[in-house]
Formats: sequence, structure tokens, C-alpha cells
Amino acid sequence: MARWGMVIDLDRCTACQACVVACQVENNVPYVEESEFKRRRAISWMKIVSETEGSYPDLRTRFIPRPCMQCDNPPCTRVCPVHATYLNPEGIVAQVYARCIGCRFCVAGCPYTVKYFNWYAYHDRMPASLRRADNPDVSTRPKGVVEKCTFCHHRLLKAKDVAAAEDRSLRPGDYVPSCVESCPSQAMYFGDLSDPKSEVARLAESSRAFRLMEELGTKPKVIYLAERR
Amino acid sequence: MNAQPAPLAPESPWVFRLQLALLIGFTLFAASIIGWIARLIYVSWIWHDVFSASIGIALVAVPVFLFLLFTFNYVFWGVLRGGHEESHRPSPVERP
Amino acid sequence: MQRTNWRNEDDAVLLVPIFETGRRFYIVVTVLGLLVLWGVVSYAVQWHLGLGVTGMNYPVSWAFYIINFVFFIGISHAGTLISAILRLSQAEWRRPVTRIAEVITVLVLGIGGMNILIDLGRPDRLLNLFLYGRYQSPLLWDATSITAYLTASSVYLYIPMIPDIAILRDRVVGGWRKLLYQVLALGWVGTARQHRVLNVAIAMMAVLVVPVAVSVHTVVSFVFSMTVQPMWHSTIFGPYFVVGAIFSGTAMLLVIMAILRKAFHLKDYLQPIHFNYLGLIMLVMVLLWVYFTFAEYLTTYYGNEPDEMRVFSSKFSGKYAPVFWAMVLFNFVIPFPILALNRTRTITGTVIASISIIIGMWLERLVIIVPTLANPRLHQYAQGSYLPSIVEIGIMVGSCALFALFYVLFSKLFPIVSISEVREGRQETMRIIQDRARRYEPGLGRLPASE
Repeated sequence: MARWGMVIDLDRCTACQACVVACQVENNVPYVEESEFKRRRAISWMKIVSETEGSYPDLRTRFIPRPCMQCDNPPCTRVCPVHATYLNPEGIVAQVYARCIGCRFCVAGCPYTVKYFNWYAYHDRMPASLRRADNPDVSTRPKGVVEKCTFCHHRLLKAKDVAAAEDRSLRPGDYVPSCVESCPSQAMYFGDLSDPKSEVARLAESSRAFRLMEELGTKPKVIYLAERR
Repeated sequence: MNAQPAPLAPESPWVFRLQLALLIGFTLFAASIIGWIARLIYVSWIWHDVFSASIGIALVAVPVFLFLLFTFNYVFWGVLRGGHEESHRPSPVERP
Repeated sequence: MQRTNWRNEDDAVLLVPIFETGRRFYIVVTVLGLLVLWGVVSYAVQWHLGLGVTGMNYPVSWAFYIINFVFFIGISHAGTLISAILRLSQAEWRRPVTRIAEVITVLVLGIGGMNILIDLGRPDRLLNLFLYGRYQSPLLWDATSITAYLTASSVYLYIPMIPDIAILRDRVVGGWRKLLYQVLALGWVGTARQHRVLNVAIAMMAVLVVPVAVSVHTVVSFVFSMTVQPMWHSTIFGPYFVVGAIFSGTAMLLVIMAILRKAFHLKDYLQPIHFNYLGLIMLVMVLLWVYFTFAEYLTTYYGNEPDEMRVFSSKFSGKYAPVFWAMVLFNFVIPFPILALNRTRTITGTVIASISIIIGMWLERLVIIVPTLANPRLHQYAQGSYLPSIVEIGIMVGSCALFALFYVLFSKLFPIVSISEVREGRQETMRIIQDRARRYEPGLGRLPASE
């Protein structure tokens, strides 16, 4: 069984936010109106988190792209009362929109705050012109359910279909989330962490590798490579 | 002049039927809670999802509901049947 | 409709609200009904549009409804816990208080559960909870234990009511009320066997209800402490919430006792000593609450863990400092001197302290829930914020009004002070207390008043 993971090289990341936009387009992440944005309800599966140290003129700002960590010990799935979020056998923390009752326990439980709630039916409130650009492979979310990054799981399903049709197994590079695919500085890598020959498995062993909030024991599968000094 | 409790007028048969309905209603309620817990145990088993938690909660919750069912029945039948004693001695409580 | 000679009985004043309906009743019910309507309309708006009509956002995704849920469930500890503990410890002064307390419990458990349902994003999918629930989730523990407590306290309310319902049955001539009382009285006539059955059942229930009640607010606290969020993931939460619940519950009981005393002219039944004793219980709870709060905050502060310190600073000196210090004011600074001094532990004093505590404990729920969500681990410089919307306020007002409305309706149908328990006390209390005193010191003779 594959164990899908991601490596993000912070030395190469320019914080251009191409990954944010690509994710939004690929996954039908709803655009919320300006009034809702001001009320802090914007949904952003992939987000660039920034941290600024020091004061002017000795400022230093770090940018970290933050998708869902797809933890191997997820604090969010533990607390879901109805099985609407669960860790699937290939290591992706899945979100079942049809089952979710909107209690937001998983939202409160995630230490990385990667989960977002549809306070209104944001997708249906988007102008028709924007909705025409929906990706037909990804279901849109109704109001009152939680959503988050799924490592573009629909692309995995499609890749498996193609591989099955061609009577072969999945090759590295067949399945790549849209953020990884779109990064202009090629700062993101994606693959099977359980395959010792894969690039992500090799990079995960790098001396520059770290994970966010490892001490919480969540076993995140997004590995960052620290910037070179 | 203090009022004595009224001599029990013959009650309409509906009274007992409604009382029975109350008892049956409560039993159905307790049974459905226990059934719900059983369903959740089953679901956690077939989906390999922390079966121990379901058993643990059930071990505490089901006896509570069974005990409540028992107590309700005990009071229900005890009071209903206990009124037909040969020596009807009104207890101190009835004397205002 | 009813016999008129009940007015000459002792304890007739306890039957007045049931047999006489003045204009005040209709005014109160109308006003409460309108407030409930405001809540219903607010919820209708929310049902139609979604939870976006509240003030919740990212990352403060739990707010008013969860605060109110915890608050109402907390108050439930007043009733049954106090009533059960006082019965188990054979405190004779409990007699006029027990039913007032038990009714509070049954009603607030329902209202608390209602608030959780109101908080759901998809209440139309509630069946999923019954079909696909997961017992690993603290919400399921909540659902189970609150259901158990609600059932247990309803049974515990009903059983001692049976003799009182029989009293009503014998004084009402006809109509639907006669049928209601006949059905619920289960043919009670007061034989020795019936008394035995009742006493055994009440004793058993009193024992059962205490652990069930403790488990309820413990699992409510587990909703927070089972996450890994800063200042939530704390082992003290279980006992902290139970203490807070008994604290706020006793305060609510006192306020309601004071209101009933005025409204139903119960001066002879709810005496200063009742308020004094409950005030002493509340004094102990004030000190316990302060102790737990101090232990919690000192541990956080001394540990100096960065994520936790951001939440701590937000409460102590940051955005939520006004709420935090108001909580300290209402939970400790105001009630403690009032309750500690004999001179001020009067009816008025304890009621002022209780109102202060009710406000303070509601603020405590806010202080626990919102700052942690507003200061997530990852977004150090992107703090959240929250302000309630008119919909949330409407639903909160509606919830409180619904509680009051049901309470008023209950007191219209059943005696709010347990007549049979009070009468039993009149016969038995002196003997019981003397027997007890003789066991302390065998040389104590019979006191003159016992004959």
C-alpha cells in the first residue's frame, strides 16, 4: 500500500502562491464574497503562512506553504462523531462531504488549522461565470460541511484508472497534486513515502528535513526542507 | 376542617391504558437507546474502528439504562399494586 | 372545577399556583412566549441561510452555541446533584428545595442539548449520528451521558412527585387535569407498601444519579481536553468543569428559589436558613473554583510553553483580558465577601452573589473556549476574533426564555415545593434529628418539643 507524502523545499519556495491558485482552481475551492472575507471566512486549502521576525529595517519573513499535513496519527479523525473524516489506507485523510454533520469538532481539533467550514453555501453563491470553470472531477461542497486539502485524491483515482486501463501499475509521476505540478520553482515533490526508492522518501531523510509541530505526535506527511543559510 | 383524601372514585379504564402506554413508551425509549449503542458497536466492528471504545462505553451506559428501566417498573407496579392492602392505613403523609 | 375546601388545608399556599391563575401568569407566559418566538425566528433564519449568520469564523469556529451548551449543561448539576446529595446525607433542610432543583435539571439538560443541535452545520443529517456514530469521539460520549442523565433525572423527578400528584388528583374534580393526575399518580393512596416501594426507589436513584451527573460534565470537558490545543489539553478539565457546574448550578438554584419565594409567597417554606446553607455550599464552591483556576493558570504560566503563553497572554492582558478579569470579578471578588461573612449571607446577599456567579460562570465558558480558538498554534501573527451576531443573541435569549417558560408551566401543573416531603418532615424531622443527636452523645435526653 502506498503512503503518499509531500516534500516542500523552502529554499526554492518564492511564496509566489501559484500553488494556492492552482489548488483553488483544481478543487473548486469556493470564492467567498468580500464581506465574508472581511469576516475571516475565506477558504484556502493551500495557504502560505508567514512569520516575520525582527523589526524594520532588520526584518526577516519566512513563508511556509501549508497544505493539509495528512497526518498518520490525525487528531481530527479521532474526534469526528460520524466517520466523515478518516485516514484512508493510502495515508490520505479523506473528507466525506455527504456524511459531515457540520459539528466542526475536527476544525477545533486540528493543530495546523487546515480545516475550513462552509458557513454559507459559498460555492452556490459564486457567480455563474465562475462556476462554469468548475473541475468536473471534484465534487462541490454544500453549506454546513467541512473541507480541506485532499492531496488531489481525485487525481489518484484517475491515475489508477488510467494505469488499470493500460494494464500496468502506477508509475512515479502518474499521480501529482495540482500544487506540486504548478510550482514554478519546482520546490515541491510528491510521491510514495513507503517506497524507499522514491524521491520523497530520499528527501525525507535529508539533514534539512523537518516537519511542523512534530512534537505533537501527529506524524504529518508533509516534510519541509529548511532554507540553506 | 381538613380535607380527607377523596374516596377513590371508580377510575375510567383509560387511566390504566394510559399508564400502560407510559410504561411501554419508556421501555421503548430505553430499548431504542440500547439498540442505538448496539448499532454503534456493530459499526465500529465492521469498519475496524476503535471497537474497544464502543464496548467500554456500552459497559457503562447499558447497565444505567437497564437499571432505570428496572426502577421505573419497580415503582410502577409497586405503587399500582400496593394500593390494594387489606388494612388501608393512611400513612402520616396523608394527614395534612 | 376544583374543590374549594383545599384552601383550609395546611400548605394550601403550595396549591395556589395550580388552582388559581391570575393575570400575572398570562403576562409572564406571553412575554416569555414572545422571547421564545424571537429565538425560533432566529433559528429559522439560520436554518435557511446557514451558520454564516452567526459571528463564527476561521479559526473561531465554536462560540456562543457551545458556550451556552456548556453553560446550560453545567447548571444541570444544581438540581439532581444537590437533591441527591442532600437526600443521601439526610439533610433535613432539603425538603422544600428538592423539586425546585430537580425541575431545573430536567429542563436545562433539554435546552443544553438543543443548543448543540442548533450549532450543527447540517442538522438535517442528525440521523448520521445514530447510524454511523463513533464512540471514539467525545461528542458521542456527550450524547450518551446527557441522554442517561436526562432520563435518570426525569425518573428521579417523577418518583417523589407521585404522592403530590395523588394529592392533586384528589382535589381536582374533572377535566383533562383529573385524567392527567390519575394516570401519573399510579393509584397512590399512601399504604405502607407503596411508601416502602417509593423510599427504596428514591434511595436507589439518589445513588445512581450522582455518578451519572459527575460523568456528564466530565465528558463535556473532554470535548475540549481531548484535543491538543493550547490551554485545552489539560488534565484538570474534568474536575474543573464539574466544580464549575456545581458552582453555577447552585447559584441558579438560589436565584430561582428567591424568585419563587416572592412570586408564590413561599416565605414559610424557603427560609433564610435554606439560603444560608446553600450560600455556604456556594462559598465552598467559590474557593474550589478559585483553587482550580489558580492551579490551571499558574501551571500554564510557569511552564512558559510558547503556544500556551500566547493564549495565556491573550486572556491575562490581551484581547480577552476584559472578559477574563470580569470573570474573576463576578466569580470571586463579588461573591466571596458576601458569602464569607455571616452578616451578608442573607437572602438578598446570597441572591446578589448568585447572580454575579451566573454571569461569571458564563464568562468562564467564553474564556475557556474562544481565546484558545483565536490563538491557533500555527498562525502566530494571524489572531482570530469573534463577536456574536444578532442571531446568536436571539437564540440565547430564546433558550433562556424557553427554560423559564417550561418552568412556569411546570409550576402551573405540579407543586413546585414537594408537599408530601414537607409534610413528612413535619412528622419526622424532629425525631430524626433527635435520634441523630443521641448517637453523637448518648447522654442527650429527649428535647421538650418532641412530644
